[in-house]
Amino acid sequence: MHLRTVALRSLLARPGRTLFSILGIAMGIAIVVGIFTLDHNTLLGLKGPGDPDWQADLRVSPEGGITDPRAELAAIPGVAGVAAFFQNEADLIDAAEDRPARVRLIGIESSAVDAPALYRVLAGRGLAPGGVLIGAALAESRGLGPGDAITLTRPKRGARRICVDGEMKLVEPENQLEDRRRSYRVLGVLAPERLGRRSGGDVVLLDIADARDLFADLFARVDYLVEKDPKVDIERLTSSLGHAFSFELNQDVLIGQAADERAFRNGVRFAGLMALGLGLYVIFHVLSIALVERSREIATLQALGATRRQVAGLFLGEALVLALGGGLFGLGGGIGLARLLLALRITTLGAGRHIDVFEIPWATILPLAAIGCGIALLGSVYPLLRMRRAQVARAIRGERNLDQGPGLGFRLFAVVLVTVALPLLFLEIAPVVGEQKEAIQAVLRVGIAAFAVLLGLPLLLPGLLGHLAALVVRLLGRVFPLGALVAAREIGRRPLRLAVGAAVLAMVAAAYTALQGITASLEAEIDRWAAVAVAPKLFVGGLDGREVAEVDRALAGIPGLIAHEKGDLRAYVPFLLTGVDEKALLAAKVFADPERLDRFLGGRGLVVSTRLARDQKLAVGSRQAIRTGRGQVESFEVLAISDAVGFFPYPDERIYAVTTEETMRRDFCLDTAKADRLALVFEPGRDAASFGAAVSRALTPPGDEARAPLVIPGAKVAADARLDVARDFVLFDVIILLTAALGGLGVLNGQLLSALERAKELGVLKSLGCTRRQMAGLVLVEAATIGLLGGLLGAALGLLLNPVVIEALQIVSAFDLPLVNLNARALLAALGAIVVSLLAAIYPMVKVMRMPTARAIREG
Amino acid sequence: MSSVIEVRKLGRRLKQAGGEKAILNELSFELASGEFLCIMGPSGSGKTTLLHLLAGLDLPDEGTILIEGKAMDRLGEDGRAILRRERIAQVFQFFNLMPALSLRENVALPLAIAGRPAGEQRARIDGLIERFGLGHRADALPSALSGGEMQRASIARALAGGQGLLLCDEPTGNLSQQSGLEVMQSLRRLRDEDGKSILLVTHNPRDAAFSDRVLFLVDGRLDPDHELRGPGLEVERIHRSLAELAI
Repeated sequence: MHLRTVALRSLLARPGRTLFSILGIAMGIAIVVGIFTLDHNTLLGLKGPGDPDWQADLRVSPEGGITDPRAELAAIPGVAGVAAFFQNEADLIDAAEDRPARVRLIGIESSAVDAPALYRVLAGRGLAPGGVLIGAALAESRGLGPGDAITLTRPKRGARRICVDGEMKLVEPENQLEDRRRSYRVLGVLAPERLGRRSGGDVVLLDIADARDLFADLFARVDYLVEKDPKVDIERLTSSLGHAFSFELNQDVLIGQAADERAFRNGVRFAGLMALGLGLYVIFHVLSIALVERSREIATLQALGATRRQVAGLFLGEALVLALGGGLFGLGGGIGLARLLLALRITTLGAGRHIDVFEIPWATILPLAAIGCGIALLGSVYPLLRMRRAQVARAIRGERNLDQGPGLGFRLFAVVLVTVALPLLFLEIAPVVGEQKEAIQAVLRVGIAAFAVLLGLPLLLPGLLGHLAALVVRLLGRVFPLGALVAAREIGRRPLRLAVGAAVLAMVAAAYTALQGITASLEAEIDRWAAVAVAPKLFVGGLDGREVAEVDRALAGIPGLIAHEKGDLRAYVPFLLTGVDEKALLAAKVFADPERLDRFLGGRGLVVSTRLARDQKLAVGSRQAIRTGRGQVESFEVLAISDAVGFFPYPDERIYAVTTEETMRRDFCLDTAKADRLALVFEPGRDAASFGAAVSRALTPPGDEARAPLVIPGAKVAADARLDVARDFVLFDVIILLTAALGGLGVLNGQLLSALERAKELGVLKSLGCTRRQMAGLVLVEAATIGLLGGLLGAALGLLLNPVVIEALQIVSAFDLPLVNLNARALLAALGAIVVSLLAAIYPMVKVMRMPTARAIREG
Repeated sequence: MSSVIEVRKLGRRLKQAGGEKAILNELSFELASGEFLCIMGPSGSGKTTLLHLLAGLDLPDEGTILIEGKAMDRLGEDGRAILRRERIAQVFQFFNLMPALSLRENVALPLAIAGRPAGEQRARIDGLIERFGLGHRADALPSALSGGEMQRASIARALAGGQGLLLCDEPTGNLSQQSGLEVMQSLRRLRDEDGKSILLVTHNPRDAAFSDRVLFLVDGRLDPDHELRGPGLEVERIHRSLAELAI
């Protein structure tokens, strides 16, 4: 026999404990691995295949009047790189003077030190004045390579189609370009990525000074390619740009990076951290109790001549099996969990999105799993190292040093490891999404502090919870006198076990209550918004571009109709810009000040939605640069902040601005005479259903029911929005559910160990005439106490944290959230904790009921 | 005859709330090679503490312990562990068998700790198990054994390592009278046939009667006036001494 056999036998002899220990570690790791795998695939899936014509993070156009746009851009926070950019078509003639090839010519700054990575060279060297880089396709088709000479000419300019005073016109160039040609040396061949992908590789890159030389007459406007600093939030960058630059945002950059998405993803990640921490906390406790319980075995081994190293190696082996087993199952389980959630269309950016890719982010999940394994390992080995000679001598006499449980040193170590080291390591591997603002740091600190207090206090001051538990037991004693008596003694002797179980359930109950607080506040915010934005409206779709005048005539007889807003007047600048007429504006009572209304109607004013205002930090009086359909950048003034006009459902977009219909017609060439969809504003107090029925009747062509318009009351839009919140938060529900299972596992482990340790005294109780039912009662009273105490504490903590959580959410998202009374939901959380605890007690209860009395008394 | 154990002015104190309490005080005695020595005393007299000190599981506050000439207090923790592995075997009142290991594996444990090859283990262990009449229970777990079987397994385990010194702590304390008798007969045979040096602590005069010499430990001191020497110690004689010492 090898000494390893002892470790192996020990694991096999206690299959329940081994299984539950591995399960505890695995569940904690699986949740966190699942979350990060899910997040990775959510972003990957939503990004899609990407633009075949590659886009930079932002393409920025300066407003007229900015003297040094490049310097201004470089000074804006969030701009990691800037490169002046010009592109046009050109004709390429090679040395053979064959027919010219039409290519995309791109001029960029070749010497800017802060230029973003715009290309990669496949062969040859980088860009320099006087030389060009050519795309791989072009190099292949024309047989060109580094060192070859080429000539570029500018083609004749064609007519451009632009919006001029409300009409799309083909505008001939004012002056035709003179024929100009320049010769260049090919410096290198571009790899087919980034700018090298443009026009399928039929691209020529040259220095912007050379481009200026070739296209001198066209250099009225230079755009800039901007690389976003990933450490700065997108809205901070765009709000800084907004006053003087219009910009086109690469939508791929935005995926998962909008304020609300960041808040959601960070929330999910924090939930993952909490789950991992809870899992390790539970396992720490279970393993430490197990080791203390096995102190006699350790002592015997030492008495038989085993050195401390041998004993340590033995237990390290056991701990390794548990930790690695937990890690492997956790990895597999986490990947499986992510797959399952994706199959159920649950993502880290809400539910209902179809993701058809699956990739495992090993670089993130392996270190996370390793942290889990490492901490579980430390937790199981540490108590062993703390064993003292005196404990060995006592243990060998059969004096089990169980009443005190693990020593203060170990408990302190566990607290530091789980509540300090784990979050720090976690954040090192998986930093918060978005900018590391002071506000985010503060939110994180509060979250981790709450986590640390809730998990740390029971370990460091178990007696505190023991006293509270005694009060609960006294209450239960009226119904279960025997169970309460025994439970009270047990809690008095070993408050730590109860405290840990209660703390775990309290954490879950607090998380549930806080989550309920978030969803309730989001729903309340929707209600508040809906009362202004959608409640007094009826949304009508499927009009098939009908003449608005005709629609007006059809609706003329319907009482209560005040105004309508057209849903088709939409442009992205890059946020949604829509247009309303004066009647709709007056009906919405947006302007109290007639002077502002006049300025708005003058055509360069904006009403911005509350979310856009928060997102872009806009206030009344702010200026916003908008690129019109003519290609010019114009400055608009924010004249009001309101949700009362401009919202249309499907797709929901609450970040938008409103200007006049006339501006949308004149500057964006949108047709204001026809409509596919309308929002009808009706008088307050009017019954939406009958109003909707009347509208439907009026707009349905006689005898053609199939062409009946789609009529959606505002209340339905609000209800759908509320439903979306519930659906989007289903991921949190899943995490809470898994964490509750983890908490239950902790209680189960604790109760099971308690039953095994107290086998002798339970045997004595049986021998004194306790029935099986009474025996079950003993376990249940203890479990109920743990559940009740954990539930009440968690609910109270959840209620206390709710304002902090909501405040934090407001800081990190663009939402203005009201606080909601959560008492009923907190009570539900407390009841849930009791149910989880009682369910977790079933297995230990069965064990106690089936315990052979004689052996229990003899062997203890 | 050379001494296996030499104890000189041994003292051990216990820290208590009101100060220190002497558990063992100025204790001196020797155990000769091949001798079966019994130390008797009432509960709380310090018998088990003495055994732990002799086994190197605990360290004295005063005095010295020499095991086959080696000073215990000069050895580090691992040194004491190796001394136990090579020289000192122990038999416990509560058997202290590993619950997860079979009887055979429990007996083989000292060899596994010493890293002996499996072949050597098997031959030696099977012989020991048969010698103590446990062959039919070799694969049973401790939970399936009777008290007597567990203690015989515990003695077999003590012999597995081949150490010359056996420290026995109330080995019959948890056994029936018949099982206790069998265990004591086994221990006596170990002294007579194998030449093992045995130190037994007990409060049972019937067990003490199997030894060559009896010392009485009262309030942490050995009483020099009541030392009993064999051979052929009678239980009544031991009872008389106990009565005189008011134990």
